[in-house]
Parts: sequence; structure tokens; C-alpha cells
Amino acid sequence: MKKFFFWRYPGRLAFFRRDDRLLLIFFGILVGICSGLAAVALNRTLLFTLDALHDIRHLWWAFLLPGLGAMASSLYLEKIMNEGAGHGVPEVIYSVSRYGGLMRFRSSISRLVSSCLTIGSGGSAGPEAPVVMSGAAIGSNIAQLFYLNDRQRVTLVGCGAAGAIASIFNAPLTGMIFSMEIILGEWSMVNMIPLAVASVAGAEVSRIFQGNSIVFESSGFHVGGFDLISCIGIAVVASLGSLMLTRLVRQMHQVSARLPVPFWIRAAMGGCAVGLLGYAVPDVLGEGYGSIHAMIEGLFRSGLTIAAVAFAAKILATSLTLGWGGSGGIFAPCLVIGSFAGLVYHRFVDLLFPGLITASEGCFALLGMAGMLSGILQAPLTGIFLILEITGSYEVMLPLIVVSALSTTITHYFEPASFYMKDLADRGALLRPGTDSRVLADISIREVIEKDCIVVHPTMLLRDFLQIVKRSKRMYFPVADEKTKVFLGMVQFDHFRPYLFNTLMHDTVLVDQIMDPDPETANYDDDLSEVLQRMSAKKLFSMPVVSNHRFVGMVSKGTLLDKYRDELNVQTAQVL
Amino acid sequence: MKLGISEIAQRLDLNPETLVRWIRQGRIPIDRQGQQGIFKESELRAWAARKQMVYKRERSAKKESETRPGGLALYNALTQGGCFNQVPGSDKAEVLKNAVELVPGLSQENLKSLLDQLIAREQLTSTGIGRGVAVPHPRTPMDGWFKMPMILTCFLENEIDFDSIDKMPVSILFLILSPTMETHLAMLSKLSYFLRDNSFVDFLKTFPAPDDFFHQVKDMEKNIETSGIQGV
Repeated sequence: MKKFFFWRYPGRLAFFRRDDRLLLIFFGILVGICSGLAAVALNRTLLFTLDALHDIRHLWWAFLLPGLGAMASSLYLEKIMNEGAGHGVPEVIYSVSRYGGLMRFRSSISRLVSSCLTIGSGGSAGPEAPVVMSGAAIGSNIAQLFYLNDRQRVTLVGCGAAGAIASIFNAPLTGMIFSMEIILGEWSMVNMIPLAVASVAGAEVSRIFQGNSIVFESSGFHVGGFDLISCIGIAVVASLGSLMLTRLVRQMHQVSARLPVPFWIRAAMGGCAVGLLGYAVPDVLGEGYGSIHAMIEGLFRSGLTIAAVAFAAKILATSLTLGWGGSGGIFAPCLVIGSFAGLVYHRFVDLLFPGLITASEGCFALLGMAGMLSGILQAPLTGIFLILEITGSYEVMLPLIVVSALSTTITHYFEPASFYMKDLADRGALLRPGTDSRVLADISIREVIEKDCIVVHPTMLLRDFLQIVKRSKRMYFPVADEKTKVFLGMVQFDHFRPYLFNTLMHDTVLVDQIMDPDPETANYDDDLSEVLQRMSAKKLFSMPVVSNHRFVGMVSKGTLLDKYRDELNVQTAQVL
Repeated sequence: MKLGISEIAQRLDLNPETLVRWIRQGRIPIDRQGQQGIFKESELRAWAARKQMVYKRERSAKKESETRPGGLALYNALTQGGCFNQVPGSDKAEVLKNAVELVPGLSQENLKSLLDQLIAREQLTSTGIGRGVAVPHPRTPMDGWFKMPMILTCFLENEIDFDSIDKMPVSILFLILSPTMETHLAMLSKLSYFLRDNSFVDFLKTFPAPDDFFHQVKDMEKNIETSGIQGV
């Protein structure tokens, strides 16, 4: 029997217990292939849906389509899959930092279907974030199937995300870097190799099924020396765009939450609004890759004003779709908005100082995309590598780096947390590896509690109490009722120090006269960081832990430092 | 090898809950099966060294009897040292010199050094604690000279001036020699507790025979041990 089940416990092999890198590489390939397949599947379905709906898109009631799609998607997520709306990346990040990458199996398909409904019907969102979530869930579930431990599971979740991005953009490097910069939040050798392998697997799957094509193939850009300076401007415009988008999505979310209608009607309303917007500016509908193509190749013929309107309209449409309950990612809209931004900037500067910019419009559209993406995600490397890989334009490398870095920095001034992390940071749930909050979140009160305190009774005389003080190793004495054992208060050394040598007091003072009847107490389930904050606020060195009205032990800063160090030591260096 | 989780936790000086969590999170090279942990000792030792933690096979707690005197510690120390009547000498230095010569098993060299230390201690402040009793002792424990503490009880031939706190002449000496500071304090604490008892001091003033004296101490020490008064 044991032999039979052995294949499900590969982590138990003595060889892998010491060094599991080979194991992780093997599973990385598996996860990469699976998430690559998921990405291909989504891509194919999206194409199919767009094709199927093509004929009715020019009918007068077509503006209802995005509404219907968003409604169906939100109903599907809430009622059938029982998951919240949104793109899912924050959920993945949270799961990685808090639950060791534990995710439900249904997450691996839920977002695929819902984003397909939203985007296919014309909602302004991207297919990338849903694919990331589904890849991550696939990684997590493969890890669970084989009983891998938390650390290995987190790596596989990262592999899933890397494979998904690598596959959907045919961009293996971006997959790897996205996963480390955003999903895992740490750069370690142990993770890097499985991620690289998964990215390669994911990209290869996509190449097998869809051919080895660069998404926005473009080349031959000529970048002059002065363009490096003028690209500072595009960084500013792009950060402005990303700030607007971030704020607007959040505000839309708050506005829609206040409406007294069911969530699916809200989603439908948002979708219809996008549909109506689509009448005026058709470029805002769907993922918008078509317009990116046009802009990069310099085929976008409309004038400066129309481009500026499209820039604003796409931001509005995206926030309407995502903020009102549609489901999809921010990647693709970012790219569209970014290319509009680049176009607008280029034309505007050209209007004021003709001939100043030597690089073409397409080049600036590309820089705009990088700036927008880096600003929204606050992940400069992801922005740089994504644009490089999806356009194949190595010659724009220098301005690309400048724009990405600047845009990240500028956005960071106004929005300290990125689009993905903002919700988590607001909830205090952003726990990056190796940070204080992560270390404290992992240690539970149960692990630092000290149980060698001697409990005294309230009716004890000071003389008897001092005898107990003599044999105690601690300065704190919990007081509990003799019969019911209910916790009544604490006696600290400070409380009885003045009477220590006053023998007259020894026989006249009772313990409950010197105790503190209302001390700060902690509970078993309290968060350690919160307990520490309360300790600092009251300048305490230790705090009694009371559970169910019974004293169970003390938490003290001294012991905590020991455990904290151990934990930090164990957490930071990932190699076993 | 296979061991209980709590046993491994003890070896690593960890809370069992922390250990279980680390295993679950994959931070430590141990596999868990129920309440058992499977690991390779050399691997775990190397891991602990890398993480600046300790891995010990043996339990870390020192044996109680080594650091703390067990039952009847004072009685044992007193019998170890012995009780001497009619110790001669007409002043402090002379008495101390004679008392030191009574210490069993000391070389000539150690004897000289011990006397120097006693006199140095007396120069700091007198060890005459009043009511005719003095407790001379060296400031630092006699490291490596003996394993068990010993107290020499000396009833003096003459009452001598010892610069006691109550200015009374001293006729009884307790020469306290301990291997560690901890035992020294324990001895001193116990002895001074006894000396607070007036009847005991009066009994000492009769210069009892060694057997009577030891018998009395044994009874008193038994008393406080059964009554549970600690820290004396």
C-alpha cells in the first residue's frame, strides 16, 4: 500500500528533503505546460467569441453586449464559483504571503470563463490577469496533489503565473520577472530556476499551438540622442495616465458599491456604459490589441484631438468595466492607454516644435506602453522586458529603461502601493517575504507564550505572596480566583516594591489590594504585530494572555526577540 | 532517523508549534508523519549551524544537584568542615590564621592564599555580624579547591574584637568556603536565617560539643525544609 501511494509523496524522498531543486524543476515544467495550455485555451476562446459576435456588433443594440457580458461574468463568479469579482492577482499575492500559496481548484478555471465573457462581449479589460490567476491555481493544486510543503507550493504558484504570462505574450523572460517582481516579491536563486523552466515550458506550448510570433512585431525605429530627453515627458504623461486609471478604478468601485442595486445589475450598467462609449470611440472596446498594432506601425490616422479623447475614453472604459464588477486584467488596457499616451505626446510635441523628435510615433507608442505598465504595476523590470519581448525592438532599449524607471518613481510619489497591492496594503495584508509584518504574521502567540508564571490568589496575604515571589523566576504574577480560576488581574514587581521591607504591611495587605485589576491582555488568536503595538503604546514589556477568562501565560518582548531572530534567519535564506 | 516531534523540538530548543509550522512551510529538512518527524541527523545539525541555532542530543538542563544544594545542605557543609573548640588567638589576624590551619586538605600554598583573601575581605568590612558571631569568607569562591561547600565552626578560646557591627567581641566563627558563588550565597542565607533565632545563638554561646551542635542544626534544617520555607 505504501509503495502504491509513493508517487504522491515525492517530497518525502530523502534525496529531495535535503535539496529539492530538481523536484521543483520537474514540477515547474509540468506547471508551466498546464498554465501555458490554459492561456492558449483562453486566447482561442476569446478569438472565437469575438468572431461569433462580430456580425451583431454593428446593430443598434450592440451597446448592450458588454453589459450582458459583464452581468453574466459577475453572476457566474458570485453564484456558481462563489468568488469575488476583480482580476485575481491580489488574491494570488495574498494567498502566497498568508497561506503558503493555497488556492482552490476552481480558481484555475473561474477567471478564464468570466474574463472570456467580459472581454469577448466588448468590455475593456485584458486576458492576462485571469490567466495569471488560473496558472497560479494550477501550480497550487499540483503542489497540493503531491503533498509538497508551503515553500515548494509558493514556488509552483509562481511557476504557474510565469508560465501563463510567458504563454499569453510569448514572452518567457517577462513571465519569470513578473512572477518574481509581483507574485513572489523576492529574488532568490532557488525560485529563479523553476520559474525559468516554467516560463520556457509555457512559451513553448504557446509556440506549438499558435506559432512563434511576436505579438506586436515592429522594428526599424530610429532613436536619436535628443529623444532620450524628450522621453522624460512621455514618462510624465504615462504616470499621469496610470494615476488616473488607478484612482478612477477605485472610485468607480466605491461609487458602484453605494448603488442600492444587486451586483449583477451594477456590472450590467458598467458594461452598457462601456458599450455606449464604444459608439463614440470604437477603440475602447475589448482588449484593444488591434489599435496597438495600428499605432505602433504608425497607421493610426486620426488626429491629435481624437487620440487624446481615445486616451481618456479608454481609461474611463477600463474603470467602468473593472470598477463596476466586470472581470479581467489591467495589462491589456494599460498597453492600449499607454500607446495612446505616447501617440498624443508625440503629436503634441511635434505640433509645438516640429521636427524636434526624430523617433517615429510608433516608437513613442511603445514607450508609452512601457511607462504606463511600469506606473500601474510599479514594477519597472516587468514593463521593460514585456515591451522588449512583445515588440522585439531592441533599439528602443535606452529610452525604454528611462521611461520605465521614471514612471515607476513618479507614480510611487502619489500612490505608494501599486494597483495590485493597494487593496492588500490598505487591509494590512501585504506581507512580503523577509519583512517585519511577514515575520510577525507567521509567529503565533501560542509559540511565544511563557507558562512558568506562578498564579496567586486574591485573598493571599502579602507575607505569603512574598514567599512565592522568592521562588518565582518572573516579575509578573497573575491573580486568579482560587475556585473558579477566573483571571482577575496582574501583580507586578512595581506594585509591591514600596512595601517589600515594611513588615507591618506583610500581614495587613492582601494581594487583591496591590494588583492591577484591569491590565492589557492578549488573546490566543490576536495578531502578534497588533499585540506588540499595544505593548509599545503602553510601554509594557510583557502582557498576560487570557483565553476564556483563564490565564494561560505571558508574552514578553524578550522572548519574542529570540523567536523573531530565529524566524527571520529561517525565512530569509530560502536554501534549506 | 525517526523521532517524536516534541523530542526534536527539545533538541532544537524550539516550541513544538514552531517546529510543526516550519515543517509545514518547508523551512527545515524534516518530514512529518503524524507526531513523528523523519530526518537525517547530520543534515539537521548542518542546517542548525547555518541558521545559528543549536542542535543538542542531550537535554540541556544541568543536573539540579550540581548547581543547587540538595537537602540538608547546611548540615552537610558544617559536618564537612568540622567543629572546633578552644581555637586560640588574641586578635583577628591570629584567630583567622589558626582557623585556616584547621581547614582539611589544604596545601601550604593554598593556605597562605586563603588567609590573604580572608584578611583582604575583613579589611573591606568586618564579617562580624553581631551578637558575638563572625562569618569570615573569601570574596571569590574557591574555584577547584573542593567540590562541596564546607563551613568550619570555631569556638574561640578568647573573646576578641572583630569590629562587629554591634561592637560586641566575637567568640564564634563560621569560616565559609564554597566552590561557587551560588552555593556561597545559599549557605550564607541559610546560616544567617538560623542566626536570627535568639535561642540558637544562646545555644551556640554554651559552646556545645560537636555532636550536639550538628544534631541541633540537622533538626532545625529539617524543620524549615518540611515547612516549605524557601530561599533561606
